[in-house]
Amino acid sequence: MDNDDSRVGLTPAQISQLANAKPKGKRPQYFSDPMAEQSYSICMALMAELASARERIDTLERLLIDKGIMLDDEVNDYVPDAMAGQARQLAQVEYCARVLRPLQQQVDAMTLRQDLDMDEMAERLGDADPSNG
Amino acid sequence: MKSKRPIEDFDIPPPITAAQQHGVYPQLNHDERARLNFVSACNRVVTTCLSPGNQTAYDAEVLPAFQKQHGRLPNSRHEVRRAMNDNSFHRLWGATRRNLMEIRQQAGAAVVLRQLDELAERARHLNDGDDNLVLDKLVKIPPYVAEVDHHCMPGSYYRELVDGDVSPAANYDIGFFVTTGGTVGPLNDEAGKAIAQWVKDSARQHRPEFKPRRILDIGVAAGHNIVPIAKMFPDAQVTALDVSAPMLRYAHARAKSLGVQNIRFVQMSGEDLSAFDDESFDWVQTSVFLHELSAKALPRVLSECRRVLKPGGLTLHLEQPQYDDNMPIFEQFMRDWDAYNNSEPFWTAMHAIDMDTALAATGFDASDVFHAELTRAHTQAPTDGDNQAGQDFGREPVWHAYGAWRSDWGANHGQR
Repeated sequence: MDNDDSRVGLTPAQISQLANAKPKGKRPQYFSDPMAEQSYSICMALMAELASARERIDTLERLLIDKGIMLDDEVNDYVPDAMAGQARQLAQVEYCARVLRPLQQQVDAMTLRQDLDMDEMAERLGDADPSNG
Repeated sequence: MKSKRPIEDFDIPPPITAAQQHGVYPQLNHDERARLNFVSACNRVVTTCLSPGNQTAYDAEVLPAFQKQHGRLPNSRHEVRRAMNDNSFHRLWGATRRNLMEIRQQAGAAVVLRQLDELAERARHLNDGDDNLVLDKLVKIPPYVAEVDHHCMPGSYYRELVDGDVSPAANYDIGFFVTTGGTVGPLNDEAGKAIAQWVKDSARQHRPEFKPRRILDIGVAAGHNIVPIAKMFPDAQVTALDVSAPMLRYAHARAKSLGVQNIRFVQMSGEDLSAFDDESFDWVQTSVFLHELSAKALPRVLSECRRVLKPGGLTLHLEQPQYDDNMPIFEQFMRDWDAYNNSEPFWTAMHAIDMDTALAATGFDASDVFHAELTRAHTQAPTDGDNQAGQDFGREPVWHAYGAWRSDWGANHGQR
């Protein structure tokens, strides 16, 4: 990094804001629900980030092979020992549970006998007068 | 070797590292390259695997429903569009394609914005004191450029964030390679190569007396297409115009770093060429530019092109194919996608113009007007697997040249 450079340039926040800026003109709507529209855009942005992360891992593997630290196909041939295998599976399970959190929460909501919104909760608990806020 | 067919059929787009570097090419780090590689790869999947589904959806669902409702076939690309816009597959396909363009713009902008000053400095180093770059602060950005963020690029072609800014051009340069999946070559210049080769071949066959000394290009942008033309005709002096200073700074620096010195880049609108005398150029052209012009500006540009063209000279406008009665309305609709979904508001009207009539209206004899199909075949062998089903309509390296050889020698020979 050219930290000693006298030029200031844009700050990371400015770069982020400008790079993410919306182009002029009303954006076409592809989904009937605007929130579905945004969710899909977020999914596609994550798709790009995952692709980028995968390419970085591939770069690391190739560098390790080129430098003779790792053999070609060593990653493919890698077999974890029992303990490592179990630890990795646990990590996979935790990962899936994190990603699928909304489904779990939907089930939680259906399981709870009464799922109150905040006003209802305040009223039920009796300590707060909603009109006194 | 195992069978190569699937790879050949799929025609994997090259990574961004296959783009040729030059003196002002932006520096890209690992993840920046990877994001752009994702966009070109995903675009190819959308084009090859998913785009044909639009035809399927049309045939299987949309057309039968339309016929049932209206008792007839759709009679225009606009009717097809309105009907297809209710189809869930087409909408999801469109959302994907739109998002890929937005991701491409975000990724490209992030690359150039973090090195704004460095890029400006590199351009300045190549540009300062060079007569071949002529900027004019009085040139106003016309509303049809200023008010449109073309292909979803915030700031479009002209935004200047710092003194000497070239960032819109640098972003356009890396992005164009990605959007086209590398099909226009490592220097994004296959269209220019195709024009240069086509003109050389047709002049040799039909116009042996054609030896261009002065060439005018309007809307040169980052200069991708003019460089191969200047190289193919080294004895010609090329004048390349654009309204955008960042584009011209970048185009000049790029061309110079590629060793091309016979192009003068001038900030000027193609609508007003009063700086040039009547009949002062042998060859006047635009390259993939007309669709950026408003309906009012387009005839003015065509008319100025005719005015400054010498008798015996060539005018040529390279574009994606025009819509005509021979083109199925479904194909017209697919080619129109960018107009409504990729901030190209003039695309649909421009492509519906009868270019023969438009050129004749500027004063050319109707018999001198021509069109020609130009492809990469003019510069190299076509790739396998080119088929209609997998076409990336509007972004393929297939162009149509609309033009005229000015044969009326009258003005010089006292016959008019």
